Amino acid sequence: MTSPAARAVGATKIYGQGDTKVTALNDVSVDFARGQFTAIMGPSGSGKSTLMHCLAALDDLTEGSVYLGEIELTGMGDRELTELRRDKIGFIFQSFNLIPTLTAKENIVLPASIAGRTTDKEWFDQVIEILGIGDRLSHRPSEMSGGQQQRVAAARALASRPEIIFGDEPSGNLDSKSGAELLGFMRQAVDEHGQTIVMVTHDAISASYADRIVFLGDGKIVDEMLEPTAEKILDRIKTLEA
Amino acid sequence: MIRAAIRGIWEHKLRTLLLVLSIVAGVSFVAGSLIFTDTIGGSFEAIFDGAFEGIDIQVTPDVDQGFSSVQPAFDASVLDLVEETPGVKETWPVVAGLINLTIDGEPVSVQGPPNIGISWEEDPTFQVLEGRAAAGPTEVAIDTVARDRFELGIGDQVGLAATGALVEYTVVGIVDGLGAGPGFFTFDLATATTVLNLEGLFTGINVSVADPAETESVLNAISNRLPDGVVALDAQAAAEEQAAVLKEALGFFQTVLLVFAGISVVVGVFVVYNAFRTVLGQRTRELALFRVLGSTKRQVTTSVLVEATVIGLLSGLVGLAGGVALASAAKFGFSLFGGSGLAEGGLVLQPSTFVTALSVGLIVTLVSAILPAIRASRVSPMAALVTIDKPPRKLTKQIVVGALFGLPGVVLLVLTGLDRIPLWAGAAGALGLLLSAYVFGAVVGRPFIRVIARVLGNAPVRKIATDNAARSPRRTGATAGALMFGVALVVAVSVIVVVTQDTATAVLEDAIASELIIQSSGPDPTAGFSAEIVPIVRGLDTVEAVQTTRFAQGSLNGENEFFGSFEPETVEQTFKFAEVDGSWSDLVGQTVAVQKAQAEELGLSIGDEVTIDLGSGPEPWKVAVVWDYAAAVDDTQGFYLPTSTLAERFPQANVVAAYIKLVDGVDPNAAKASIEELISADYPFAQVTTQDELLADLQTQLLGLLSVVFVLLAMSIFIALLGIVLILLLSVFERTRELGLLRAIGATRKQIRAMIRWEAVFVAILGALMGAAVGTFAGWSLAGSIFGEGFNFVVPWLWIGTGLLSAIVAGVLAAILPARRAANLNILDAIAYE
Repeated sequence: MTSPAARAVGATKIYGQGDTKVTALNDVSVDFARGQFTAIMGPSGSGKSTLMHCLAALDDLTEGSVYLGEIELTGMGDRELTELRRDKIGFIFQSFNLIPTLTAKENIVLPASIAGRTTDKEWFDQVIEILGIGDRLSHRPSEMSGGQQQRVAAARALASRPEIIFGDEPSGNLDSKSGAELLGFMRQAVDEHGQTIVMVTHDAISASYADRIVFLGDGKIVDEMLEPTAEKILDRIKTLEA
Repeated sequence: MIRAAIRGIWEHKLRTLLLVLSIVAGVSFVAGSLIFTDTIGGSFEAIFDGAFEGIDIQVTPDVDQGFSSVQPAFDASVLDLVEETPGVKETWPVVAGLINLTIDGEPVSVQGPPNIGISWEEDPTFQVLEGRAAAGPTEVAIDTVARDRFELGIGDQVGLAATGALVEYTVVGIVDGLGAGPGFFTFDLATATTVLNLEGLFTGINVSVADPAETESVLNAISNRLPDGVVALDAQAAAEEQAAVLKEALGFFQTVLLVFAGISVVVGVFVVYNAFRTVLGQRTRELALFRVLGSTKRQVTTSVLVEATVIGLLSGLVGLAGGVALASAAKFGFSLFGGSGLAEGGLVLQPSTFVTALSVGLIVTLVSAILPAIRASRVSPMAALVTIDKPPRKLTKQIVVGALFGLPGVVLLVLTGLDRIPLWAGAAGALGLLLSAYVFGAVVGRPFIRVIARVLGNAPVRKIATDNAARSPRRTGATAGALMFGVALVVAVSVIVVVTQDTATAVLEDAIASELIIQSSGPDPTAGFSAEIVPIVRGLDTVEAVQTTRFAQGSLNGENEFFGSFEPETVEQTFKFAEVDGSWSDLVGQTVAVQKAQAEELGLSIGDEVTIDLGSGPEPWKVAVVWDYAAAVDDTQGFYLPTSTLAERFPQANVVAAYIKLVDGVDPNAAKASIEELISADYPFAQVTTQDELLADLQTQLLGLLSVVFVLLAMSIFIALLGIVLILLLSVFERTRELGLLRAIGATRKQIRAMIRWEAVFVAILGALMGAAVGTFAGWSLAGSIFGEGFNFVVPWLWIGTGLLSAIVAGVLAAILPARRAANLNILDAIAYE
């Protein structure tokens, strides 16, 4: 069996000191399997965003370690972490995903061009095809709707064929139809192309697109669910909150 | 809201500091100029109050004479006329003239006023401070200026020469002279007469009257007896006249300081205006919130102006301190130029200077802030609630305003360049064009930066930098525009210098046929060298012909004029002429040769008569020759008299230049060496130069001049740099989220820094090229006005290149701080930033 795409071992993150000390992550160990779509859920302050940031090489842990494939992130310098993000990770944020001065196409190939590489033409066309943004390539972000902007962001994340894509409430700012379309595309990327995706969300319907859900509460993993549906999730949340 | 404004200043300390710094330079120049004038002006009165005490009347030649020209003289018989006038108590005849000196055998070259050799027989002109008056042919007493300037003391040896060979003298006394201006070397009357070659002549007579109350009537009585060309003056009036000459030098310093004050203030205004505009643009939401909460438009405007006021007052105070520093530097500079006695004592800081400095700081900031403040007050309260995506505004206004300033500017500059209108009109045109270019920067900036980017190639980060620089055309244009000012001035000055150099080269190569030129090595080229050299040089068998020129001051048809001289026998061997009307052999006695340009101006032709006064009254002189050089010589001296006539009229005058035509095939350097061997011991102030050396000297001189101007202009470029730093910092702040996103998806810190650096470099190149274009055009125009129509225009490519390169370096430097800020942003904060 191959190693998981990403892995946290005893991950602990403490902010502040003394009276203002906040434990965002408390000894969390979790694996994210390759080719799987995982959602991390939990109420505000549960540590779900912190966990994602640490897995995505955006933040560092106080204790414990995280792995991206076989690579241990802990102790890496800024330069190595940056190159790791550039070459092995894709991102879809809730908003402000795109550089306003660049066209959609330029935004999509940005990670590759920052790295001084060219993007695989065939794969690029395929991604554009999947996301249906072929007619938007020369537009700037301000000339596109919110849904189109998020699809361009998804295209950017997919275009570099990263080992893993992290999403931070990618459909959070979209109306339900656009949100459903975007999540559908993400699902398709996992099913048809074996893409690994980890997504933070607090929305049950969004989470229902995932293969597996990890529930966080007070910095710890409190539950897990496979093959979720929106109803099952809502029930589980009620139980967890009770 | 006012509290919010004050807090804003405190919370943005770096921004405040940069804003203050951008204004400080202008305030410093203004304050420095005022402090300097007050300081020096105070000591002026003191010095000239005490001068000439005990002397009531001075008898002098009636020629407008500076310190640096040949002192005219009158016949010694005038002394009897004065002595015999009733009411005269005592008389002291004086001879005086320019003198050169050597210390330890080396000719001393100083900048500033020249040195004067003067007779002194213990009349009230000077007082002995130390030692005694000079007596006999080897003694000299010097004044305090000479003592300080050359670090001489009693017992020291000094070599002095005017028209004769060098003689060593012993310093036997220090005397109290004016304490400023020229250095005085005093001899007894007999020695001075010999040194200055003024046998039977005096250059002045000091007179005291029996009853000081009768001074005026005695003055009139003397005046009635004096021959043409000699006048009697109230000694006090004479002192004031001398003070006026020195004050001119002071005025020059003040003008220089004020010019740079003006330039710094203008650049400062543009930088601060741009910064306020940008900051307020970024604060739109905050301002709108204030409006939602019920602030009136007026309150919004006031809060911005309060912020400007605080910054203005701070700049005024810091500028005042800068002014004190500048004034000390100017005082030091002035003391080097011969004003050591004036530069004593502390700086004078008048309350009015304090008020002016604060006002300049305040006015500059308020003027810069007023338009952005009014615009800020127009922010709709709605802007607090929704993000209003403003479509890119049309640049129509910029085009109209730019054309409004630019077109008249171009017309004025073209007319000036063709020498149709006076220089100041061209200067006004240049200002108009600069303002227009400043506004146009917004229009040309975007396409321009795209072109540069295309030339450089679209590397990934550079592409983003290009877009960023082109994103706010008005902001980029204004930032680049501030830099443009300094670069334009540098380029314009260098055009003048390069054209001067080019013209001088053409003169040397095309108008002068002689291989060697002898000139004075002293501080004042008009001091010349002894005519005794000429027969020595003529005696060499390698020399084919020698042409000597002397200078004289006088008047032509009632106008003050400076005359040169030709020797008709050799003039055709040593100069190249394009056109000669009349015959050189006619240039004898009371005749004049007139350069074609001047002849045309006055409508003179061969045989016409002009009235020339050389200090002994107006006389008719006949035009013998009208000539034109083979090169476009800018020779303001258009009137040349026969050298022999001048030598006769002014025995005390030196030869100013000797042109030596060598026998064919003689090596100039070898000839130079053999001449030097003959003359250098006795005549150390005569400097033999080859044409090549003369060119090299000229270049050194021009470079020296240029470097002074450049150092001062660097100030305005520095202010513009602060502008780039400010705007980049604000842009980094504005684009925090973008930067965070770039970092998240894998841009390294190095790439972020490079991105900011490129943006700075683009803006700098834009500014430098606009400056180079405007500067070259303005330089062409000014050169046209100075050198007249048909001058040989030269584009100063070297200096444009240097300016461009410096701008790029400046851009890189300006980017350091903003780039570091951008690269060190915390990614998580940045992407969460709202």
